[in-house]
Amino acid sequence: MPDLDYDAYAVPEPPDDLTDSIMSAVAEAPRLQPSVDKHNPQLRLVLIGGAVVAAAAIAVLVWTLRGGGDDDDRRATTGDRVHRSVATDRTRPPARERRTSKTVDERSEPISPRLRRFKSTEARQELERDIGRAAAKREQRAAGGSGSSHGGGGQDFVLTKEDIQGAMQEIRPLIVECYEMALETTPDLAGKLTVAFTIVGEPDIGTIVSEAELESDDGMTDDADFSECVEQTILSLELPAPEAGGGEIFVRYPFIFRSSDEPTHTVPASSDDNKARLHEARDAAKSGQWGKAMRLCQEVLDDEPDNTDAVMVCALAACNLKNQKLAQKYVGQLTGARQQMARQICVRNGVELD
Amino acid sequence: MNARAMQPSPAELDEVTFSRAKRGDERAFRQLVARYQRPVYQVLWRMVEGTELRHRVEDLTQETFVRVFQSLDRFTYKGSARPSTWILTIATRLALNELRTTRRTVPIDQVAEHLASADRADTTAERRALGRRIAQAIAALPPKFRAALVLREYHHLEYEEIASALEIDLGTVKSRLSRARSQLREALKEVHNA
Repeated sequence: MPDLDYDAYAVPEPPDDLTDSIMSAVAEAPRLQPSVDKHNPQLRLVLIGGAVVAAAAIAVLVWTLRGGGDDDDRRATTGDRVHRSVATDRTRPPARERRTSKTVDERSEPISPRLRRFKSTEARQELERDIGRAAAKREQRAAGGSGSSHGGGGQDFVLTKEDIQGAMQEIRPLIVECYEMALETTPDLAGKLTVAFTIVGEPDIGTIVSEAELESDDGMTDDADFSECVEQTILSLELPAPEAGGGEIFVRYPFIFRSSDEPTHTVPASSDDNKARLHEARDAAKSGQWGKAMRLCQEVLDDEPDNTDAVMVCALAACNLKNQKLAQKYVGQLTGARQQMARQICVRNGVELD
Repeated sequence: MNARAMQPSPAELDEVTFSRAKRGDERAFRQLVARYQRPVYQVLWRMVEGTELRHRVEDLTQETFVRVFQSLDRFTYKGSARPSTWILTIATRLALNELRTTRRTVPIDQVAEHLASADRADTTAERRALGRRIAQAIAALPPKFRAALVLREYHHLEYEEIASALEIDLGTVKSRLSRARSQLREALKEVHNA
């Protein structure tokens, strides 16, 4: 008997408004907010000369400029790694000229003096396309001999070691967040993790990380969630557009991670009541009961105004309750990575803090 | 091998968007829904056809994505399952769970009539008739056989993926598929002999 023509049994397409009704159902569902409970006060990162140590970073830092050299040269400097995507996109001529659709403030938010973070994947993809188009134009100009200082295939796209080091220092809190989160499920996670990534930039357009790969001989990449967190953190970055030139820069940067049970709290130990109250506040937050979480964390803060864990819960609750005034108050009391995280959650909820 | 099983699956949602959705980015999750709602809707449709649940396909689709949303933190993009397989697994298990407490009460004729109105206009009457017969035959299969068959024939999952989705071993997958196909052949004998 011949194969059955299963395709004869066709079923209807989903209704047009299904996406909206799904999104409404999801919005009403209890959210599992991973950021609320990932701070285990018993597990802290020991800073070896900083929160994360880039030991011997400068020695390993490698970059080349694309355009001036050929692909073989690039591979020689970066090992056996094969780079893709952006170079491929650049060979494609632009379908039509188009300016960047979003302003820098529309597409990303500042996370440090020189770094920004994309607000959405679409914004990142849009900028990546714009960079690709600008690069193709620049290379066409160079091939046609019309390029001068700007058309030399990116010879002027210069980031110094200090620039890279500074950027790495600035994303350190975000990487630490990933690590702290991973420690909850893998308490013995430690060792060296090298991040190899490609930065692409075009003048007046922008600069992004186009690719990121992780390497570790210490099993740091075995934790898939940790690896993904680090990789996505790197990929979500936007750097200032180069003042001239344009092209790619390849960077290898090592991080060394070590955990410790040493507490880093500066606040006095909480009373048992407040610990229980804070625990209850976190549980409420995890199940999406933001009003209850807010009430409980505020009770803790009444007794212990400096309890940063309680401030964090209050900040997240305020963001999720879309209470701008409280969000500004509590997020303002946070520092470093915690503040960054709370800010992101406020942004997601449409709460403006500045 | 069935040539249909060789058809390429539509591209998965990219990892960056998936990751954003995982972190709570609403727009990214909307993209995820837009990408996977069709296969989810269709797997659920075929799973509950001929039962009291047939009017609840939209509800079940919503429920599937709520579960996806709540389980995103546990899914690893580069893990053993593709995103589509993982999401179809959630949908299929939801359907099987619902079917455990649902009686088959819909006459087969209703299935046929219903599908006739749902079919595409450009198909021939003969093919529509075949579609109705296949629908009837699939609706008559026990849910666990139906699940294996639908995942294989309509969503092109590998045997190992079906085993993982239905939490059964590989041999059981092959056995269920074999028995499901055998029952279909028997039910459609007249069509093939015609």
